[in-house]
Amino acid sequence: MKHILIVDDAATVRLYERAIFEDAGYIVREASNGLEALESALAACAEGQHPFDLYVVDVNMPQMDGYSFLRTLRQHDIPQAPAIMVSTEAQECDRRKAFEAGANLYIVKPARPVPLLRNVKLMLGETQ
Amino acid sequence: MTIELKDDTLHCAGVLGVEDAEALLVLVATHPAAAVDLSACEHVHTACVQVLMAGAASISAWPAAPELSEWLRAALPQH
Amino acid sequence: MTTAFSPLLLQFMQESRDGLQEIATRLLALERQPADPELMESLFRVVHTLKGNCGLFEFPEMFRVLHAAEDLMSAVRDGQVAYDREMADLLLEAMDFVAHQFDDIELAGQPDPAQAVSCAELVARLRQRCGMQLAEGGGQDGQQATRHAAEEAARSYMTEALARVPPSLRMAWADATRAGETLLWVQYTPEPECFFKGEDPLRLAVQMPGVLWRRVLPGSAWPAVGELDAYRANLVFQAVATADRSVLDEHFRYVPGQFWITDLPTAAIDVKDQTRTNDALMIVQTQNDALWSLEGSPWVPGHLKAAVTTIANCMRAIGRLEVLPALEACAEQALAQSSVAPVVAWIERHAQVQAMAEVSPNADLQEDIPAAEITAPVAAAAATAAAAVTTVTADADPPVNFGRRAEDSNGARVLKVEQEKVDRLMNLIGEMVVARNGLPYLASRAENQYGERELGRDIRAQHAVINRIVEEMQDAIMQVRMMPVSFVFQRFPRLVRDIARRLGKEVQLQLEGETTEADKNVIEALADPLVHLVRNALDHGMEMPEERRAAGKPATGKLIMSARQEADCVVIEIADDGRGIDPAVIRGKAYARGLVDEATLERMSDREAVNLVFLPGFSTAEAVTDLSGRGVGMDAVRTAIERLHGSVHLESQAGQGTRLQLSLPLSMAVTNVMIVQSGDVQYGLPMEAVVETVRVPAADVHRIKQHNAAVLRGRIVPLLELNSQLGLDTPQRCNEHDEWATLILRVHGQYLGLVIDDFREVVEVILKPLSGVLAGLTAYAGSALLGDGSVLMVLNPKELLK
Repeated sequence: MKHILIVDDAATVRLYERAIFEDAGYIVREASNGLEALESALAACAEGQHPFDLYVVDVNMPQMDGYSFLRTLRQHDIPQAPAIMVSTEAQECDRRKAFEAGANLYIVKPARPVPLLRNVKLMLGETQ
Repeated sequence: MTIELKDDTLHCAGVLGVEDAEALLVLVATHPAAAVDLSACEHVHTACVQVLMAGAASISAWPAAPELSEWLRAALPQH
Repeated sequence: MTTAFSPLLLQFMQESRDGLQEIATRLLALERQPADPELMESLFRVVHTLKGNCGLFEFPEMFRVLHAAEDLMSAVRDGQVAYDREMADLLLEAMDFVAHQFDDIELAGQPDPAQAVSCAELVARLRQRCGMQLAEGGGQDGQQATRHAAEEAARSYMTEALARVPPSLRMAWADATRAGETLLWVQYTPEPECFFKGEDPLRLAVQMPGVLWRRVLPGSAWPAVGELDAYRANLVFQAVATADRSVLDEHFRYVPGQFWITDLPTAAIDVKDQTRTNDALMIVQTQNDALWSLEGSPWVPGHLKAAVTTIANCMRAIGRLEVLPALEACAEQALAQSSVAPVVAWIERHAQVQAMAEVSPNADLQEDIPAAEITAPVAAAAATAAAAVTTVTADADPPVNFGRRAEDSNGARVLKVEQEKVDRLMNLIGEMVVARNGLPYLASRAENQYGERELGRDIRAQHAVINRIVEEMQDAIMQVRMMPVSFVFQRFPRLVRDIARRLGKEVQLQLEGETTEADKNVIEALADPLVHLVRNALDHGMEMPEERRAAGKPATGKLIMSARQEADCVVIEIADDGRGIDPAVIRGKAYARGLVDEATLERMSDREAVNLVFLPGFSTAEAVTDLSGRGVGMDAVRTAIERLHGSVHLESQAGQGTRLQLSLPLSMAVTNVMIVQSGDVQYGLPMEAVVETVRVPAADVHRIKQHNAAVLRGRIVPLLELNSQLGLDTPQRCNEHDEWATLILRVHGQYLGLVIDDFREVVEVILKPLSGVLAGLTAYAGSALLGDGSVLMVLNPKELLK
C-alpha cells in the first residue's frame, strides 16, 4: 500500500487528484499549504508511521509555497520520496525552478488523469 | 559416419558421433575456410556441434530431419 | 583505444586492469599461504574497490560477477568458507571474465550482451560455492541462498534471451498466453562431464515436444578452435515450448538439476509494454535536469536521494532489476564525493542505450539484428554519453580517484600515459627532424645567394644545437616507450599453474630480472612466442611427478624465466629441469623429414642438432592433440623472434633439462618515412633526406640541356622523375592544376627535386635491409611492413640519384 501526499491550496484540485489516486488503490493524505505538508511529511517519518512514497505539489500556496516546501523537505535527513510538481506555468524557467527546489517531475495543470496516473505508477515502481 | 573434404567443403554423412569430435576438430582447425555440408547427416552429436560452433563453421547445407535442422540453425547462426 | 571514451572510463579501465593483475597475484600467493589473513584482507579490498568503481558504469554483468566474487571473498575472510584450489580457479575465472569484458569495451565501446549467459552461470557458481559451504555450516539459509541465486541467474538468462526474440514472434506468444495457452520457458544446461556419461544433450533437445523457438549458446566464450576441449560440454539450450509442464519434466527426468522450466512471463514478451518503458525512461532522463539544477547551489543530499529513488522505482516498474545494484553504487559514490557526476553518467549511458531498443515501426519485418550492426550505433551512443560524461568530470570537483586509498598504491611514482599521446610525441619529433633538415639549406642560401657568410655560419651553429636536442628528444621518447619485462612475465604464474594442473604435473615457476626493460614493441611482441615456449617446456620437457621421482629428481619440476640486459640486447631465458631433448631423436626426425642431408648431420655437433627443432616443417600435425602442438612449431617462434631482429638458441642436456635463450634488441630502430605514390605503386622515402615537399606548376619547369629544372626559392633545382630513375616507362602524373608533386631532397650536399605522382602520409616503420636476391638492389634502403600488412619498399635517395 503506497501513501501519497497531495499539497494544494485549492480544495477542488485536491478532490480531483484524490479521486484519481484512490481509484488506483493508493492511500491519500492532503495538505493545503507547504507548512502543513512539511509537518505531515516529518510526522509520517516518525517511529511506527508510514512515510509518504510520493508528493504531488502545487506551486503557489499561502504561508509556504511549493518551492520552499520541497527545498526544506530535501534538507531533512529522512527517506526522500519522489515529488511531482503541478503548475499552471509551462515556461522553461518555471520548470527549472521546480527541479532546483527538488522536484523529480514537472506537470502542467490541468493534469489529465491517465498520463498523471501512469507517471505516478512508474515513479512508485509499480510493475503493472 | 564419414567426413570427407572435397572442393573446400567438409561433407559429413550418417551419424556424427562423440568419437568423431576430435577428427572434426582437426579438420575444422586446419581448414578454417571450408564450408560444412550436413545434408547427409542423420544426427550430429553435441560434441561435434560444439566444434562447429567454436570454429564458427559456415554450414552450406542442413540435415533433412526438420527438428534436428532447426536446433542446429539455432546453434550455428549463419551470417 | 579510441578517443571516444570519457576520461573517467579510461581511468577506470586502467586502474581496473591493474586491480585484476593484483587480484591474480594475490590469489596465487594465497594458494601458498591460505591462512594469511593479511593477504586475504588486501585481496578483498582490491575486489571491493573494483566492484565499487564498476558501479559507476553501466556494465551490469561485470558488476554482478564482481559482486558475487566479493561476497565469496568476504565469506572466506570471515572464516565461513574454506579457501582451496577449486575456489582459486573459480575466482580466477571470474577475473578472466571481467578482463574479457574490458577487452570488449575497448573494442566495441560496451561489453558484449551475449556475455549475460556466461555471467549468470558464473554468478550462480560463485554463489553456489558460497552457499554450498555455508549450507554445511549454516543449514537451511545457505541452501536457500544457493537456490535463490541459481534461480536469479536463470531468470536473467531468460530476460536477456527473450529480448533478442523478434517482436512479431513475441507478440504472437503474448496473444497465445492471453488466449489462455500456457507457454513455458525451458533452459537446459548440460553438466560439463556429461559426454562421459554417454549423454547427448542435443538429442534430448531435438526430442523435446512442442518447441516454438530455440536458441543454443556457449556457456562460456569459446576458446580458439585449436584450444577447444571437445569433450567438455559447454552449451546452454533455451526453448519456448507449448507442452504440458509434466511432459517436459518427464522428458528431462534423467538430467535432474540441469534444467529449469518456468511459465513465460507476460511482461517479458509483451511488446505493448514499450510505451511504458519509454515513459519510464523519460522520467529517468528528467532526473538529469533535477540533478543538474544542483550546479552552483549548495549541495543537498536529499535532492540526490529523491532522484535516485525515482530512477530506481522507474526501473523497477519496467522490470529492469538488474541495473539497480550499479545504480546504488553510483549513488553511494555520488554521496561520498558530494558530486552528481556518477549518477548523471549512469543516466546518460542508460537512457542512450535504451533509445536503441525502441521497437521500430517495421519491427515485424525485422529479424534478429546481427550483433555487429548493433554495436556501431551503441558504441556511438556510448560515445555520446561518454562525451557528456567528459563535461561532467571536467566540472566535477574534487577529481574522482575511485576510492583508492594511499596504502593501495605501491609507492612508485608512475604517471600513466595513453599510448596515443606517446605516439603523438613521436610524430612531432619526426616532424622536428624534418624541420631541422631545412636549416643547412637555409645556411647555404645565406652564404651563396646573399653572400652572408657569417649568417650562414650562425645558422649552422644553431643547426648543431637543434640537432643535439632533437637527438636527445628521440632518445627520451625511446626511454618513455621502455617497459619492464614483468609486463609479459606477470601472466605466467597463472598460465603455468593452469597448464600444469591440466597435465597433472607439479611445476614451480621462478621469475628473475622482471625489472629489465625493453621497448614497448619488443615487449609486446614477446608475449606470444613466450607463451608457446613455456607451453612446450611444460608439455614436452616436464615429466609427470612419478617419472621424475623414478629418475631421482624432486617430484616438483622447476621452470625458470629470467631476463637480463646485455649490451644493447635484452636476453630472456626459459630453463626447465625436465627430461631435455635427445639429440639422436632430433637428428632422426630431421633426417626422416628430409630437412637435412646425411652429410650435414654427420658434421653436426649435438648442440647444433638440437637447434634443428627451429627448422620450418620440423613440428608436424602429429602433435595435434597436445597442448603445445596444434601444428604451430618452434619455427613459428623463431620467425616471430627474427621479425624483432632477435635470435633464439636452444641448449639441452638429455635428462637434465632444456634452456632456451632469446636475444632481442632493446629497441627497434624506428625510421620515419614518407609514403609517396608513383606509377600506381607506393614507395617510402626516409624523412632524414626530405627537405620539403612542393607542388611545382608545370609552367615553371624549364628544360636545361637534358634535364628538367625549376627555380625554387631563388635557386635552380634539377628535377628528376622517380619512374625514370627506377627504369620504368610510366610517365609521372601531375594533378588537375598541372602541378608536379615534388620532394626536395638533400643528397650528397646537393638539392634535388624528385618528381612523383602524389604525396601520402608520414609513417614510422621498422626498416629491414633487403636480403637474398634483392640485396643487390642498391636503389632501395630496405623494406618495411606497414600496419595493414602490406610491404613498402623504401628508397635509398643517395643511391637512387647517383
